[in-house]
Amino acid sequence: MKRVAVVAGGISRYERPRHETQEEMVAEAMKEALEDTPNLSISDVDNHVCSYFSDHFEQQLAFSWIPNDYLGLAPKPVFRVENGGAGPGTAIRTAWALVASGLSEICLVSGFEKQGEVSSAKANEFIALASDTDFDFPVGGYYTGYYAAMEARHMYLYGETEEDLAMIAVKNRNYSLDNPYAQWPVECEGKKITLDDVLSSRLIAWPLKVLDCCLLSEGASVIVLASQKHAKKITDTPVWITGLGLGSDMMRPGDRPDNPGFHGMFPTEARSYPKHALKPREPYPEMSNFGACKVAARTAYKMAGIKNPLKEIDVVEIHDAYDSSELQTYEDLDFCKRGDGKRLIREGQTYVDGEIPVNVSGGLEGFGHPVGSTAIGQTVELFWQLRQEIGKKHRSSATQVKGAEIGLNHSHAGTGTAIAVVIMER
Amino acid sequence: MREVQPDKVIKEKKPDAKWADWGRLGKWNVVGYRIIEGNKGHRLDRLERARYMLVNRPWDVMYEHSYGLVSRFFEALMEKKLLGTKCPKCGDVFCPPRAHCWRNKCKLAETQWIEMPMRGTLHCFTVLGFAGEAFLSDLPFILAYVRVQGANTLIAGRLVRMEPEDVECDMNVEIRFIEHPTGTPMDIYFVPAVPPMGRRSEQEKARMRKQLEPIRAWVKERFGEHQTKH
Repeated sequence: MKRVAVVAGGISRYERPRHETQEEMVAEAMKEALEDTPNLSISDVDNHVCSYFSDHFEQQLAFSWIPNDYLGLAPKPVFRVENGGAGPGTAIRTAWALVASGLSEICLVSGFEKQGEVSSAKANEFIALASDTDFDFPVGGYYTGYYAAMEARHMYLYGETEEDLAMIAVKNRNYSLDNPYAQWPVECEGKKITLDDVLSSRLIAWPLKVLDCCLLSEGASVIVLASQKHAKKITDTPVWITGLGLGSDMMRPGDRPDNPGFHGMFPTEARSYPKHALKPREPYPEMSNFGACKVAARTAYKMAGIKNPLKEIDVVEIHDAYDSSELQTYEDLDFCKRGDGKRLIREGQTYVDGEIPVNVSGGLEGFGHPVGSTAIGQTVELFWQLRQEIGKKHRSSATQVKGAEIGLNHSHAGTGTAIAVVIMER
Repeated sequence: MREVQPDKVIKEKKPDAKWADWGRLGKWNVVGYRIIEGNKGHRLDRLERARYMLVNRPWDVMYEHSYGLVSRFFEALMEKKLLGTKCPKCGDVFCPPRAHCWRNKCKLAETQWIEMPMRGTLHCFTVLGFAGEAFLSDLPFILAYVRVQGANTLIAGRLVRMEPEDVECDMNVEIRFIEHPTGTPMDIYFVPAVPPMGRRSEQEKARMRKQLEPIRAWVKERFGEHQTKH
């Protein structure tokens, strides 16, 4: 297998609505990548993997063909990779496989989404079509509801509070103020928020309020992957992809507590089930945690040779569709033991100056969540972090993790139904 | 080879005539537009202005959806019976049902229908203050995942007849049918089988009540007094 590097990246800012079309936003992101990388030309790209989430939002099937021709890439190979919210992470994985296998030398990964052409309530319905439409959706279920029920179980088992969750929302949203590609600064008019702002915001699905939830967004991003042979010619500072993992779980979260698929896989996590609760047949992940994440993370750590993720990883971008899922994910990424997510945020370990900075880009709550672009945009942020370029790309270097060498990107689909992890190293 | 038989209608409820035009009305026509001046650019600090035309383009669809090999579950709901399926090899019980077992060892064994008891345990829940467009007028409501007694899967549904602040994980519930079931999981609902366990503090309860006040006021203003089916 060949070594594969990220050699360029670009973002077209997140907002809702954006009025440029999807292919125009992809072109804006590509233009930035080219301007930052004088040794890269569009004609060097030999393959294109494209990521977008919803045919309902876009009202256009086979959309990958449009940005492909718009960028002038036709007749080169292009296809879409779709895996819910883990689509962009899975697209990176696919592009990595193309380059590692020798099928491609220089591969473009593009991602975009438009979620602003319908009302918020209709948008939530569209997203809920990625849940089981015979059983979970018809009773009034939708994503915030599912995540809230899963968080209610996690709270019941491990005792974190609404305040713990709100700390994560404040962290991510306030970091986004430094990010000129982020959506939240426009919505909050550049003002920092407080714990009380989150706690007193409108209830969406208990225990989640509107400021505990990510944004509906429009935007695009691109990265370019290259084989070792080409990477050094394109840039002096490539960022290597050293680990990848992808896991899955049951479509209906209600099918997880007894799912035989996880039997015996994670005995330590299964043993840490509190005594006060009714114990399901498979105590991990059941509905309180994300087993697909554990599978993806352990696979990626093994590939990258990471033994102690908390100490070895320097900067992390997590799919915080909800602040609750960021807290649960701390546990599933092995940053702490199960039930200890609350300690990590209370001790400030995931702040920019903490042991393991998480979502200093603003994450999905602050930066934004145009689904097909999300993990690609976060990868661009990590690319800049690992090249120590945040000061150049953001408004200041306030969110630059100094000396960062290893980064982790996490992208998450469904109710944790598919989860991708990518490890990057300077 | 046996000849392929055409589908035979066993029972039918035709959609009301008002649905007949559902697919035709929203026909990709431009029924309105706005021409605006808006932002252009890939970073907040490098924006320019550009002119855009935004069109209103309705589009809607009527589906004829098959519930597949577990159709009997939905048919039974219309007869006010709650069914599940059971694997003849490992004995796992599915409600929601599966037509084939999930366990690798059982090699996709076809399951058998069984009748489920009308009681269970509430595994977890949420109180919805916002929802998909079709459910906005029901707000606020309690969405719960319930393990029907004996099942290895949990079913989602509404819990009623309990104040949201009294609902707790692992409480026992009874399962009831609405008066006129139509073959959806909404035909059943949950009611508490026991008085509140009282694990939540008065302070937490007061906070939940306060969070729900504006939701109740918003729904009343937009949709009027709520008519419950339960």
